[in-house]
Amino acid sequence: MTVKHWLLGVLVAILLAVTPLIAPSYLTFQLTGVMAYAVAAIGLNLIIGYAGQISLGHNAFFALGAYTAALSVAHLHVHYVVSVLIAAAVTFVVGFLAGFPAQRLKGLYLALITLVLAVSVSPVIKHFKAYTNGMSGLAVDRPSPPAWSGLTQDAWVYYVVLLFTAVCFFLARNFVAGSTGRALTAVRQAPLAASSMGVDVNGYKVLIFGLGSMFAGIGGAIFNFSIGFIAPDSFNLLLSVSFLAAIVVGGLGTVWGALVAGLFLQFVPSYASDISNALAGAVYGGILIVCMFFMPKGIVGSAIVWLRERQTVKN
Amino acid sequence: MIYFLQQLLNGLATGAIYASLGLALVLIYRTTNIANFAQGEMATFSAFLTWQLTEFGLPIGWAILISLGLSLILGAVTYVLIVRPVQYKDEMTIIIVTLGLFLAYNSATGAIWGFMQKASPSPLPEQTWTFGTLRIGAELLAFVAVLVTISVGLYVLFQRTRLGMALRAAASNAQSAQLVGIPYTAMMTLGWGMAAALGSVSGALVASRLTLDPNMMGDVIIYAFAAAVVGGLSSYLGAVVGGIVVGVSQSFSTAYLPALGSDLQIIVPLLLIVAVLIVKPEGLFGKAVQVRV
Amino acid sequence: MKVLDIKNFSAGYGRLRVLHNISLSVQEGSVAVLLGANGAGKTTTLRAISGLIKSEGSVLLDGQETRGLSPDRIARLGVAHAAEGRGTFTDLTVEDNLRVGAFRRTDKSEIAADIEKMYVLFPRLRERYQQKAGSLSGGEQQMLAVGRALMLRPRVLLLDEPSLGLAPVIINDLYDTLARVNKELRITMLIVEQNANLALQIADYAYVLESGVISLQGPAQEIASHDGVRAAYLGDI
Repeated sequence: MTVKHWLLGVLVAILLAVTPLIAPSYLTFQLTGVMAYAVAAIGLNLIIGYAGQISLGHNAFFALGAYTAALSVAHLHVHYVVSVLIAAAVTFVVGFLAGFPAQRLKGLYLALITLVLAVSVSPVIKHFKAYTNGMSGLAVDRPSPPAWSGLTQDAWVYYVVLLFTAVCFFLARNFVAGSTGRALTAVRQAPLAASSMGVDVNGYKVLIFGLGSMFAGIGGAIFNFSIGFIAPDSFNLLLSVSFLAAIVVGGLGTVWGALVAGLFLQFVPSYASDISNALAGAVYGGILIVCMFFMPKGIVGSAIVWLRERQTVKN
Repeated sequence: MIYFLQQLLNGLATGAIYASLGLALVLIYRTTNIANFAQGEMATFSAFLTWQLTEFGLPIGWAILISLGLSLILGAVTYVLIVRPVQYKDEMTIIIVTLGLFLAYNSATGAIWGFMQKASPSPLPEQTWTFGTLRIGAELLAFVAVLVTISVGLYVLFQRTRLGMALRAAASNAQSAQLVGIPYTAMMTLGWGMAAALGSVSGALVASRLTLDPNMMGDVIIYAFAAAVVGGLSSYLGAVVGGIVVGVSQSFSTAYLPALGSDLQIIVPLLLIVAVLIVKPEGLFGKAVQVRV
Repeated sequence: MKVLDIKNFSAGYGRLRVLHNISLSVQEGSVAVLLGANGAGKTTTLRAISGLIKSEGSVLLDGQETRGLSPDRIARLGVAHAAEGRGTFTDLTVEDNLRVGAFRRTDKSEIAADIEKMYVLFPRLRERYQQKAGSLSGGEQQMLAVGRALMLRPRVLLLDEPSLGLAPVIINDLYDTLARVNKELRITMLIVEQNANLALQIADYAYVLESGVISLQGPAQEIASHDGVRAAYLGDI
């Protein structure tokens, strides 16, 4: 990384750190949501952008993480940080197991199965209403700031979520950089060639499915903190497709694209329903289609391509 | 025993709905190699079109026919404007575009006609015939008749007409089709148009049973895909058999496994698809695709 | 008279130019052969003529300009292209493959008569007429491809490396049939081949394509006995 990159990174870090102290609390609240979505988006990006598998069922793992965290606090009385870890473990295991049948399926069929998964989330949650409170939803205690910090609850939640987000970003970054990243690219672009060179293609796919689902679960768990209330209707098919739209706009196969995705998921739905309640779906649909026509690599992806071309012109 | 038969017949009627939408899916997949996730929403749009026509005073029968024609045009236009530009891009892009279409159509239906449910006039008489405790409604006969008509129609089209042969050729090998003078793009446009028309039939069936609702095909598309997948997405017979199997299994699970509850009904086709795809990824009726290295 | 008259013809893929201003022609009723090594541009030439790729220059079919037209239009005007890799409709039966070759024709009885003629020319196809084309051997698929092309009753038949991947015995068979097709049915042909022994034997005129340029041309006999050609393309040293 050049000096310029370093400075930029430090600047961003400082900005992120002081935001809750200087920004109005609703903005802090919204940014917390952005981060939760971004973490989940990292997961989907790993699955689709890096492993080339199409998952439309990401909302299921997001929901699983949210409910696992909420229930472990409510019934097991664990600390909220622990609840996130439990959510991560559960969603990793479930995702990993789901990855086994998933890797056997050709892209389209995988999309179909995950589509069914997406549609089943709401019914399953409602069915187990003894635990989940069904349609009425579950209220969750948001993390309280300790007395010594002097922070508001929104600010404290922000910092907790920021910590988890930063850790997730670094984990993802390290996972995709280096030899794992090269193997991932090989798996995505030329699975047959990769496999003939000894890369355990199927093994990677299963692992990534597990990791991607884990990130969704973590995202769901910290989403919990930011809202304080979860209900089945927030985890429906539209959420899954929104995730897809968001990372497509952000940029498949880029870690920063997940951040753009987070911004997209937090702010676009309310703008879309400002335009017209009914047309929210059309806005998403339109964005998806237009993006595929003109910017198939998404904002970050296209930016990277543009920057690289500028580099080559300079050289 | 009678109970078993009753469930079987009920499932048959529902299965006819899934099979008809499944046929539309197979048609598009065979002509353009695309799985159209938006097929159900396009069918819903068609059903609302039909309703609108009845609101304008047309008798239901005519409304359905005209809506069929309009749907054909709609499907063709959708193909030319939205699908063709991305048709040869990677699978991901295409899936995303069809999902975009799903959202757009769903939204458009709601935006134009609102999200409130509407009663839709049914073209079917209220008749029911009883044999002991077995009840056969006019609906069952009508649905099966429609399915049979569509199936026979497709068979005749593809196997006995020049147009059908051209469609099959274009689906089999695009380049060779061009080289024998088949206007290949026109064939694919027609494929999408026909599928949309088929979808509108499916929409009419659903509407005759339930009230009209922009989300009414939301589950049906999943079941229709389950049906089509049984046939490996490329067999018409497979879609018909698959549709009936899904419909009947749904009927049986409601009757004999009440523990599942209405919420988990959708698990049934899920398990079916997963089972079929794990055992035979190319579908029960499909051909194994050899991956050329 | 020239059925096919190509002048200043260039073509390529995207920014890559493969053919550079070539000119060639095929007389009615004759067989012309286009020789060249791998990558010389032979397949590109045929694909450009039948409109599958963009090109510049002029292609006159019976005096009518066809360059720039869509492939299906060019096919309807009378250019039958049996592409490399056979291009059979694997899902269709043998008979349907032949039938679809006559897609644009409307003379039903003539079409039926032509199918019969194809079965006479290619007896193996008659044996397998109800089988899916995908289940045929390489040689049989090549015959089917030629048969389908002939069903167009074309003004000119373009053949792209018909011998590719076939056993020598089958290749002999194939070229015997091609010679018969030319002599008896008076079909004009442009054949592209890499190893061109047999092709030159049935040809009247030959062109040699090197790096997208016609480096040599002349009556087939002359080209066949040309030392350079023998060394490079006919396997003689």
